[in-house]
Amino acid sequence: MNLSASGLRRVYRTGDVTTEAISGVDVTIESGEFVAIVGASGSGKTTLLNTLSSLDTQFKGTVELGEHSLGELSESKLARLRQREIGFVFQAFNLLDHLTALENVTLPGFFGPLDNTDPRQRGLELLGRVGLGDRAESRPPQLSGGQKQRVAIARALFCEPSIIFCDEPTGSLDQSTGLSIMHLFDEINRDAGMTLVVVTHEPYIADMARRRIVIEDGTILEDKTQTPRWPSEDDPQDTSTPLNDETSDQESTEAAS
Amino acid sequence: MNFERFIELVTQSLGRNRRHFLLSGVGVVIGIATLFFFTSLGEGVRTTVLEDVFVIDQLEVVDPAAGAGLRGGGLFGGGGLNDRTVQRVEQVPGVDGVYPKMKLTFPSRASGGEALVGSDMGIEFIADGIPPEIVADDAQDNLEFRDHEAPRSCVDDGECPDGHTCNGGECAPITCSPAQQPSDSPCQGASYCHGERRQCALPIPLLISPYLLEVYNGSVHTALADSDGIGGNLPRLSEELLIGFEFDIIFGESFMGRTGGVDSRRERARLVGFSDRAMQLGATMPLEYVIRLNEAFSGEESAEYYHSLLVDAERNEDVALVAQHIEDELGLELSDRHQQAERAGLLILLLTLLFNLIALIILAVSAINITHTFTMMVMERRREIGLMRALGATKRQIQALVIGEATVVGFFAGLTGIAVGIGAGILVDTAFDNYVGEFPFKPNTLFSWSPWMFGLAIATAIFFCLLGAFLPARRAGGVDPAEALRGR
Ligand SMILES: Nc1ncnc2c1ncn2[C@@H]1O[C@H](COP(=O)(O)OP(=O)(O)OP(=O)(O)O)[C@@H](O)[C@H]1O
Ligand SMILES: [Mg+2]
Repeated sequence: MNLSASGLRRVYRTGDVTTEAISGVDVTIESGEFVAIVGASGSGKTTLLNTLSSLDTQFKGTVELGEHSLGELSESKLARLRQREIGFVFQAFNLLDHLTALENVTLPGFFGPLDNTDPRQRGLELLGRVGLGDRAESRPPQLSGGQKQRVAIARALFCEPSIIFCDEPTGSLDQSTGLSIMHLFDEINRDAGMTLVVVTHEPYIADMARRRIVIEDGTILEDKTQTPRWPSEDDPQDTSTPLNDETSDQESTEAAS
Repeated sequence: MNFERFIELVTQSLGRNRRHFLLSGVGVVIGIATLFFFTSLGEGVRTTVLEDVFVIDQLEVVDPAAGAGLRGGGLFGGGGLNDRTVQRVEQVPGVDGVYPKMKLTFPSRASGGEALVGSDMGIEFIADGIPPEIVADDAQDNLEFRDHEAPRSCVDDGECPDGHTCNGGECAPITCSPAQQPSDSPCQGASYCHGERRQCALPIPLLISPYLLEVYNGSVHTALADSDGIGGNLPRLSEELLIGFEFDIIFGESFMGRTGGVDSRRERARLVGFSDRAMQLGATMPLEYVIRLNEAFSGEESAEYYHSLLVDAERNEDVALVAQHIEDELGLELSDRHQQAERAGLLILLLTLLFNLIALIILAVSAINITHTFTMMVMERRREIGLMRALGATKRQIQALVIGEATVVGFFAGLTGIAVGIGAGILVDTAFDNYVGEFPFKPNTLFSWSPWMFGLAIATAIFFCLLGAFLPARRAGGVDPAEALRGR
């Protein structure tokens, strides 16, 4: 599913003050790409991600995901599209503390039909895939930051979306934990062919993508493909095997919150 | 959203915010308890008052002249109630049956009671007669409520009542002597040997009103309980104790006076049952006895006019219409018991409504409280709601979630309210039983709990919770996901 925006603008109004957070963006992201969006704080990264990902439809211009034009879809069709085609991973994890890891992962299944899969089965399978097969019944407060983000990733994968949007997915994690999360993303992108759009302001994260878009004051300053660069094998903080590793035990819980 | 999953989601959410939900439900519990308490109290009191005290489903046409002691209007085609009046009332739409009542129009007294209170007592005897068919079910004695002196055809003795034989195709009394020992007497079973006629006879069957028994037990017995003499030894009476009780009636003679020109006559009577149709302060016998006795003691004319007509409506709902028709179209007068009953019913209804209004105010206030609590919860959960929207929830699903939570709160608050209402009722009943003395028609319980009240209570509880949750639900549906998920 291709994603394209043209003449995209987004203006915030608070009282008399208007802020043009996105001022004329044209961009096309093709199915299966791994794109990093970088830029200074306040440059409009989150705003761009929200408009591209259907969370925010108060934009001018057009955004098209596959054959759908996001600005024209009805509220319920938009919800349906989010449920089936779009996955989200946030800096703040946004897990529900009163639910178990498994219940958090299966949450998207509450809002729309599932194709004949048993939600519990699928949830367990996904938890296994992100290396948390044994923490299905734990609640978020009992998990480290990295573990929480893995649960959030499993949740994003629940409905097998075609595109995943991540807003600073490693922003709340220390570097080695962030790296293992990025390995997980990379794997998802390669194996399942899911499109990956990651907002970050950490250069080493942006280096891992195959395309880098630089935003400044609401416009695209630079947009180029690149050779992904991962931290070298001998980097002491690097963890080579992203899955089922022991990093989670070393992650500090403070880093998570 | 599949229903089971929806319930699961609601349950998860309720589980987390337990304290909020408990707090928001408290007001509804109090409101529903109040509503349930007063509805069941009003219903219970109404039932007692209307069905036992006033017998509302029964109309009685009265003769205005009879009350004033002025008979004779009937001679000129006016006031009196006779068979023609009966026919006219029978024609009124909705009327199922009309049953004339006639009072004894001459003085009489009763004597007896040794078996019951230990010594014979004499008392003025007041009675009326009604057609036996309307009280067929009320006689509990083997001596049915019927005219035993009416001619009865027969083929053999077995078809005749006690003390009678089949003679020439008709039952005839057996001759006897009052001097005979009961064991030698030919008057078997329920029959006795009549002293003057020297024939076996069956006692006159009597019905009395349960009201009379209530008045006796509730007032007379209670009031005299500690007094000296015979009054202090009066037993509390029950229906079982009284049925089958026999005593003598001396017709044509009383403590107040005698009937001129006609000798008094002594007959035995027997209590065969209790009936709402029976006279309230007196006894009731089959109509034919009264007609014959009035003819004999106060002349033919007095036996032609009835004192009142009982009117049965086909359905309870018709009673008011029938009453109106009888009064307006036929120009007849109804006993004020009907009006009193309607007034009492209305008063109780108004009181019930008043208290229910208070309950509704409590509920309205709790609905506002729910609006506050739910709004607070929605604000606290903005981020969670935004997340759900991002994961594919529609506005409607988010609204449904809040509405679902309110429904569950309403349901359990309703149940708790009912439990509290019943608990309070039982407490009041116990107190009423222990601290309030006997009085006529003192009911076993002041409350009447019917299935519709439970349904109504739950529905009302849910209704007010939904009312309270309406705005918060809309607010929850309106949460902008991009806005709610930003930052932290
Ligand atoms: N709800 C809002 N109302 C008004 N202005 C807003 C709102 N959200 C963002 N802005 C403004 O829009 C601009 C872009 O904000 P945005 O959050 O997209 O930046 P960002 O690149 O994600 O920054 P950061 O790296 O700090 O997350 C900023 O100037 C910000 O102040
Ligand atoms: Mg941002």
